[in-house]
Amino acid sequence: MESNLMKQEISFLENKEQEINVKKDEVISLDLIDITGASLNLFLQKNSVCNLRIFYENAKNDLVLHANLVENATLNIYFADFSSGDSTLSSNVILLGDEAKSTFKFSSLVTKNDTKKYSISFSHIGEKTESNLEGYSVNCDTSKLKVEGISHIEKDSIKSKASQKIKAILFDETSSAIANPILKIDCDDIEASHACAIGSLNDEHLFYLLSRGIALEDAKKLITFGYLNPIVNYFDGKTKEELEALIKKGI
Amino acid sequence: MDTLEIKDLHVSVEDKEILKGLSLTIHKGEKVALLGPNGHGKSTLLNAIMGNPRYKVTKGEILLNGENVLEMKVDERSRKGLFLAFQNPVEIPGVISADFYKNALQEHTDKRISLYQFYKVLDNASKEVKIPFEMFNRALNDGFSGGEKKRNEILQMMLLNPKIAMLDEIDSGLDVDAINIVSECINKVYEEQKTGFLIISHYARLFELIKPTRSAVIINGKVVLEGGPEIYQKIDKEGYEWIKDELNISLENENEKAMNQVSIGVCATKEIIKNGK
Ligand SMILES: Nc1ncnc2c1ncn2[C@@H]1O[C@H](COP(=O)(O)OP(=O)(O)OP(=O)(O)O)[C@@H](O)[C@H]1O
Ligand SMILES: [Mg+2]
Repeated sequence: MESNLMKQEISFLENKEQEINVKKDEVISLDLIDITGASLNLFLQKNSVCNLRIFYENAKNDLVLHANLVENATLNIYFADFSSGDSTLSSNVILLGDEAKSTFKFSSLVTKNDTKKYSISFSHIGEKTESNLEGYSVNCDTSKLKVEGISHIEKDSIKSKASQKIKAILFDETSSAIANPILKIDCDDIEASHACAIGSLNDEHLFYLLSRGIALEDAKKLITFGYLNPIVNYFDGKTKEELEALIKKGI
Repeated sequence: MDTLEIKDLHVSVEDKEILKGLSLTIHKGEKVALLGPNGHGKSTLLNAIMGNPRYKVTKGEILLNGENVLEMKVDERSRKGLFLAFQNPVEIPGVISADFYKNALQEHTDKRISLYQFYKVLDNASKEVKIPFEMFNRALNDGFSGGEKKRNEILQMMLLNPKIAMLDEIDSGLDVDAINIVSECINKVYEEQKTGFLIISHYARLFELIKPTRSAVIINGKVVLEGGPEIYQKIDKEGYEWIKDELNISLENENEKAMNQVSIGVCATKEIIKNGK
């Protein structure tokens, strides 16, 4: 079978603003590592698939992302934020064509006095479009996380689906997380859901692990690892190894 | 001989006293059937023994082979040989079962367990409880059916090999085949290790399969009656009314009216009455 899978690591060295056009029927993977003050514009043509993997590894990061999806295009964004220092990410995906789909999954480990702000929005315009936001975060020390998830289903976007799920564990009382899901729905015939859970480690979960002989520190590590690790599956190669190492080190 | 002693135990949940001076002793080689109407403190007892922080021990003692269990942390209690199979096992997202079991098993032995050894042990245990091995690559209890969760508790018991195993309604929600599987596992562990068992159930069916050596009945937060297997058999036929008459006790808690109708075969209905109040 012919494979049209393309891989690309995007570099912003010279150009702070990049445009990428994913051609009809093309399937591509893009990797973004440590971005400061850049913006990326994506255009996904008919039936194309783009897997965008963003890894904030080191210092301060900020990225602005815009994507336009036409008919039956799919954009999957996997975002791992393990950086130290403040960072922001703003993503704005427009599901223009019918049956366009987009997923945004993130995992972040927020420590020290860092502040992380994400604004993730989907505009549903075409019919039968789908968006899905799923995020996990572990917050320590005096760090702050602010996530704004916006799903806007416009008037003619019938039979569309939007879901948002955000979970944050606060390890220290001094850390904080705010998840602000906004569902703007101007169409009747749709499915939308959102769920946010922010809290300290679940006592019942901890008790269960402890009752099997696992020490408190290890039990916390297992739970944290469980929160952060699933994102690893979407990365590969060197990035994947680095990510795994960071998660192990971080917890 | 391994012995768990509970003496004059008082336990409160959210400032409400549930156990009110409960005493009970279990030795290695005994299988104790623990009965009692809904809401009278059976699960509370097991949780207090295991050290669930929501259950506050206000008075009394728990001793394992003479050692003060109440001074031990939860994980230490497990390592000393106590095991609790939960009435409602939790699902823990992201925590892969196999990783967790390996950690737990490692905590219970001094020698380093290789991955190969671990997988062999897990593979054997998974065959005993008839859960496909692959399911342990998933998050703990994630997407498991009610019955699978219960069998998963038994699997962990088999891995950890406790001195005293406490099983909280291990048979609830199990189909006929699964009850047979679970009781075979319990019997096997008992044959091989002479583990002490404290087994809560509302159904004689499980007891008929595992043949408890003794029965104990909790009413109003106390063990009010102890004796041989004939007690659970009588409760199965006649409910709890005769105990109250014979011992001249009345039910103290607010569920009294519902409880008066109690027989051990109708647990689900009682739950509804209780919750409906
Ligand atoms: N975590 C908890 N929070 C609040 N109340 C609790 C908690 N656990 C138990 N209780 C209360 O303590 C009482 C005893 O409950 P327990 O679970 O020990 O009963 P049980 O004998 O195991 O009943 P069942 O047969 O229904 O399982 C009940 O009134 C119950 O509502
Ligand atoms: Mg109970």
